[in-house]
Amino acid sequence: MKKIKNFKLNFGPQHPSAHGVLRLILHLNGEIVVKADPHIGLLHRGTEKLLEYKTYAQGLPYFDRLDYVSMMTQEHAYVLAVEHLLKMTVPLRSQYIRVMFSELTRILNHLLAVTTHAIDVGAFTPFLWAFEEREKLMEFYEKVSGARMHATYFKVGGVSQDLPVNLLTEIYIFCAMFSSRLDEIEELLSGNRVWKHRLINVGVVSKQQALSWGFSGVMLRSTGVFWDLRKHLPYEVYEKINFNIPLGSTGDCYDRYLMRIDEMRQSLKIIEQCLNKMPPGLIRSDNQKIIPPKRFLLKNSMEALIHHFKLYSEGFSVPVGEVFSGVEAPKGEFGVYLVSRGMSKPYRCKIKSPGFLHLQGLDFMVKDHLLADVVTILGTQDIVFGEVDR
Amino acid sequence: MFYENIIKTKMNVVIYLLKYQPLIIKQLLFLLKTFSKGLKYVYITNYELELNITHTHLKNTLYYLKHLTYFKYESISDIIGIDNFITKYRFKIIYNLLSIQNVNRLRLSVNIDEKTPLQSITQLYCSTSWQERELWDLFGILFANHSDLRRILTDYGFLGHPLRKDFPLTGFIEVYYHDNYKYVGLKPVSLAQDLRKFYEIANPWK
Repeated sequence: MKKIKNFKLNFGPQHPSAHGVLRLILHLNGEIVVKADPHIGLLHRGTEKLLEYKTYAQGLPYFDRLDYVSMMTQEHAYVLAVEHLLKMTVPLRSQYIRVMFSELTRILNHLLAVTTHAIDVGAFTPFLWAFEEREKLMEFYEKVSGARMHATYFKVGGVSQDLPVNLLTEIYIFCAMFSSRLDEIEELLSGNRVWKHRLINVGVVSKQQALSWGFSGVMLRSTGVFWDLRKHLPYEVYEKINFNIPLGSTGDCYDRYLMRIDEMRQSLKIIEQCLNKMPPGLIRSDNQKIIPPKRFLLKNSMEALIHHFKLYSEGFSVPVGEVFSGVEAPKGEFGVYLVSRGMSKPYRCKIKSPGFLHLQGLDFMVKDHLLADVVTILGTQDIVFGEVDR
Repeated sequence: MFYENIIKTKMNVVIYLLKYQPLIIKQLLFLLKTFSKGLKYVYITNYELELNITHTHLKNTLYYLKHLTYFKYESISDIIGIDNFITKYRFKIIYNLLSIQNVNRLRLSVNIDEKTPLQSITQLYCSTSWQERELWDLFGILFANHSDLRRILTDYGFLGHPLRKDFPLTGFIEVYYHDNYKYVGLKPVSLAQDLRKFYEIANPWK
């Protein structure tokens, strides 16, 4: 008798539930997954190589394009690294603005993560609701920077422009409305029988596994490990802000869904505190050798013109050193390792993306699950290929 | 050397650290006692600690750093490769360790040349499997005892290691679509204009 072998299934690279360009080779035993071998790199753009050929200011926009649903948090990691090497202090107002926009970005990301996950499992409605809210958030992006997604708003030394008039009021109105939008999404999903059947006890990760596979962010906290860079290694003004970190207990997909919803509520809390505490003052450091001059000065001062020319052609040079700066991006710990050799371009810039390590863990997470659960687990990992492939 | 604050004598390190990071000192003293054979240098850059060890001691050191209750560096956030192409040991590999128990990061670095393979540590830390594949793909660093050392980020059948400093930004080969014959082919890169090199300026502007 001929022995029946496992068969291989090619999933992707153009499948809508692959969240981008993932090619997944699945080894199946009937409908049970034995092994999953993700082939990544279809969106590899060589960001790290490109950064070595760009000045520090020119390198910044590349970070928006890594994880294209949580843009500003990634700029944040890069900007913090450069500022750390320059030993530069940032005005308090810009720190509050950065924290506020990081949290708006977190909402932006989690809305997409939760609702596209819902689409993968079969619920279409929350997706439409969430994208209406995302539209409002992207309008805030547009109002401060002129761009809806790839904002390049956080600059070395602060932020690029001050907040326009009335923006804080608009954000406040959004916050007041948004928590009931969250209630609506929760009403539809949290108690839903299908949703619970598909998510509970699917993709369970233990504490040891999560640490060993290098998980971070929601994926790590769902196993009950209390680790959030905003609390443990705080940057900017997170120390002064009061918020909670949702923790999971079982480490399954349903936990992670509930945590993402709760993180959005906590983000609202942070934004509200930022709105109340927003101090007046400078939005960008006034170090003339690093920060380009204002347009008015450019037309009136010879010195400013020279600085402008030098800063936009050669760029500023950064002292010799190496630094790792990590921020709590919505997907996990996003880090930038910068090596400077005293020139105006980084010698090496390594980008640590959380999604890369999460996707690697897909193999053990989908083992002994049904084929349909692969999509659920991919959805809960919140993969975006911009950052996985870099 | 490139570093500002290289402190080569081990005693000096301790004195230096006493000023800044009293918490790390205990750990550092313990480390010096345990791994004094393999330890080459201790760098402190921007108040962060980096231990440089010989590459043969890598696996043992990591084993202790992971399991000893004193350290508990249970997770590797990142492995960074740097190509110092002029020096004898061409590559510097930095393991960015994270201890959740102690709320602490430690950088462990090794220097190796192009030909020597580095011991794979996938048995210790599962997450390093892809990270090592990435280093092999982008730098051409070999890892011994790695179960699945394939390319990961570049295309199927890619040649060369793009993050090496002698690999040009534009690469050697480009992919094109032949419209008449309806196929995707490869051809040598031809650019209308050379890449402009602004970066070779002798003395950076102060």
